[in-house]
Amino acid sequence: MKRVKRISSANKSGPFVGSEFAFEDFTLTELNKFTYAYVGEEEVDGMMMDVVDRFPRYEKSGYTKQKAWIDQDAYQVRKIEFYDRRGGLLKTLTLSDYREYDGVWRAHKLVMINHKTNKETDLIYSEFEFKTGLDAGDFVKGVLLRIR
Amino acid sequence: MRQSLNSVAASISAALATLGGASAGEWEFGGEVAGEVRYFPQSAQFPDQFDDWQPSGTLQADLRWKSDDGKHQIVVVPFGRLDAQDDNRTHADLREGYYRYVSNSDWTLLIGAAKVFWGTVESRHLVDVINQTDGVEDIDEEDKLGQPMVKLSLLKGWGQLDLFVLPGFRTRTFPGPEGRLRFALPIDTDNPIFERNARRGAVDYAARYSNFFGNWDVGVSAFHGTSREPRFTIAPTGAALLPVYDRITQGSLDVQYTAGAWLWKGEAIVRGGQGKTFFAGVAGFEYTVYQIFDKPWDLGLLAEYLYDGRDDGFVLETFGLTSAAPFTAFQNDVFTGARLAFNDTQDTSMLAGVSVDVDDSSLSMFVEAERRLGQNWRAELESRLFFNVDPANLAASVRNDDFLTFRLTRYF
Repeated sequence: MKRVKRISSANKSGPFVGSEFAFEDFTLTELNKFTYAYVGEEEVDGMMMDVVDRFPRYEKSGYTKQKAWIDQDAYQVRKIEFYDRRGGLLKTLTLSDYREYDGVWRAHKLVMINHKTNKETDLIYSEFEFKTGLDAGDFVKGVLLRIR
Repeated sequence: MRQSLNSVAASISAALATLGGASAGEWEFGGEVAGEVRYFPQSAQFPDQFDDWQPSGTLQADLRWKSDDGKHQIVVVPFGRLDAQDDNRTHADLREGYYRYVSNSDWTLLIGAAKVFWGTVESRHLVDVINQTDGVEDIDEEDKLGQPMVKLSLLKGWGQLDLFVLPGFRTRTFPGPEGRLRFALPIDTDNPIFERNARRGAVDYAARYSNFFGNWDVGVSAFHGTSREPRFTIAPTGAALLPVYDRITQGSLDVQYTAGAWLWKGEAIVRGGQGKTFFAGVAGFEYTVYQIFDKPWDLGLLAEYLYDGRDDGFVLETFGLTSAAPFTAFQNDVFTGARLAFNDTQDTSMLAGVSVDVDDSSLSMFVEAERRLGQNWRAELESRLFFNVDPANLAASVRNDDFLTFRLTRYF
């Protein structure tokens, strides 16, 4: 159709094109989006990890809790468990293949396993590019329309 | 043949390279081929019309070029259809064929044939006046002919302003005498009448301002030129209708308000030049229920009210009735519908709707469903049904034309 439409952002917990990822799993993890509770330390694959429970503060989340494993050396998130509205373990996300871009580390392989359906989605990034010069003005309808 | 095409492409891109600055830019070739069959279960209402099956095939190529710096773009999209039943439906059109200059910052200039869509609502496309309707494709007025234009777009902090000069008016396409989904008399598209100042070659003008303010998307447009919507007069032979194109001036407003799961939508026009100046509008909402039945499905519920205040009718010169507006089926109608998106990897979705004429209770209903098959194929089902049609309703001439379409498209 080549039309540009505004869609609602209310659908945070919906699946992304039939995958095991929900829209809210992609968005930035800003500090203020959660409240946190420190659980303890754990050694996983020879790495010391901090284990932190985080509780979504935003509306319409599909989760009551996320449990995150963060390595104590580089502060990289290695694993997140997602707990559904009834408190049961719903999904596990494993992040790997961290690469550095001018001091910024990004995971390139994200594997999400859904424990209810036993389905798995792998999200593989090939390369990140930062400081491409885009700003908010590049995301208005008129500009989006002329890209293609 | 391939060799010569390549060398033509090479020389064009070389020519563009000099235009664009340094190197050869970037070509993109795409397209789609579709096979389709429409089935009409009821017998035709009028003589000459075919019965039962209408097989058809379409081809659309998509050729794009962009200079390395992205400032120069060329788009060529030719379209063609072959139809086994209706000669008028066998047709070709340059859907798009333009050159666009994109400045570094805040303006673009487009020259050539292009498609422009304005509007927000589902049930009718009231403010969408730039392109002529390709009426042989479907009766939903969503298929459009390429419109020659010079379009200047300014993208500023205060919003977007589009200015159009539109030479080369396109007349509307209609099914032929053997085609279904037509009036009692076939339309003689070879002999259009251009009323008053609407000479065939007259240039049209349009302007549009659009912007967003928080949760509001707003568009305000003005159009002065030949109406895309014709009215009709009976040919001297008495055996056909002749389309009559008037010169009109139209102002319009379209809005969308996005609030969580609610989309509130509205479109309105005021048009002068066809009988008395009239107002028409559509207003409604789409409310989406996410993950219905604990499945990944999203269900959208739609409702819209349609009003049109025009004085429509035939142009009967002999009775002195020379000034009327084109027919419309939307004087006082209510549309309700549902959109079901399955959120699966095949992008399966369905849309169904019912329009009811509040004055005479005539009903028309449609269902559309589509699903991707593998990487490059898409299957679509479409159906339109007419119920309880009042003999005086515009839909009376198509009341036997319930149909079911199956289409298979291969993308390249």
